[in-house]
Amino acid sequence: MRIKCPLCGERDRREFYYLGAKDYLTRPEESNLDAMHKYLHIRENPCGLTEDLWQHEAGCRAWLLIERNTATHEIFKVELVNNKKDSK
Amino acid sequence: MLKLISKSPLNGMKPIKVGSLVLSEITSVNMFTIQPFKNKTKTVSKELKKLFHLELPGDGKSLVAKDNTIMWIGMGQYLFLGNKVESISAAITDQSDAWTVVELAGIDSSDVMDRLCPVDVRSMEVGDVIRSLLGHMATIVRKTDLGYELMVFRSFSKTLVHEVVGCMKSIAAQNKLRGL
Repeated sequence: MRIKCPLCGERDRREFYYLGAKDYLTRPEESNLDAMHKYLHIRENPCGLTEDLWQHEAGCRAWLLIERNTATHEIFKVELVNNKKDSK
Repeated sequence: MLKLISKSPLNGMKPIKVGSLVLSEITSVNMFTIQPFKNKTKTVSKELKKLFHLELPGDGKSLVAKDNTIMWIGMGQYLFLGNKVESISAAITDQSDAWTVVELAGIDSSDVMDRLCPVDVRSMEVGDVIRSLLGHMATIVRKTDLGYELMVFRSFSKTLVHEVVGCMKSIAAQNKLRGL
């Protein structure tokens, strides 16, 4: 599997660290326990299209939002998380 | 007052020659990371231009002017080698003793890199910089006229030499068998 980092170009999968679903970008108010529980523990496990967070750990160290297909390993989109203004 | 003797990361290692390949330590330069403050990238470029006739290079690039070199080493992060840098619109960290720097030179240097680095280094031009892996170590690789400059954290210096020299020997031995 190869990922095209917007800064470094196409790189081998071993240079990247996988964090998890893009839910991590939207942290709820800590006083809302149900939302916090969902944020920390409840995840979809899709067979198909998914969006998740990766870090180019051994490269430029940028956080990336990657749209990919878990069934076919196709990668559709790679974006810098920094460029998404609404992320926390 | 007691004067302490400074030790380079490879303790003054003499150049290691194997076949046509040479691995040598590059020592004694000041090193600073420069991380421009938010929305200050252009300002920092102007300040560096005024001070050192340099500007912030593009992604994956480096620039040289007189005794100073500046290279991109990651998102919003640059490494400056040479004079002392201070009082610019950026966070500056002294890294002078933190890195092991070696140059791998020789006509077969790309063959060595092929075995150690998952990036196609042959597509790099002189002055290009990548951050990638060398074996399992996070490494900065810069293409030079003679080969590649490799930078790893100081604590990885012995592993770096071990990995690279191992490959140099193997490449040289295979070339010899082929009668090259």
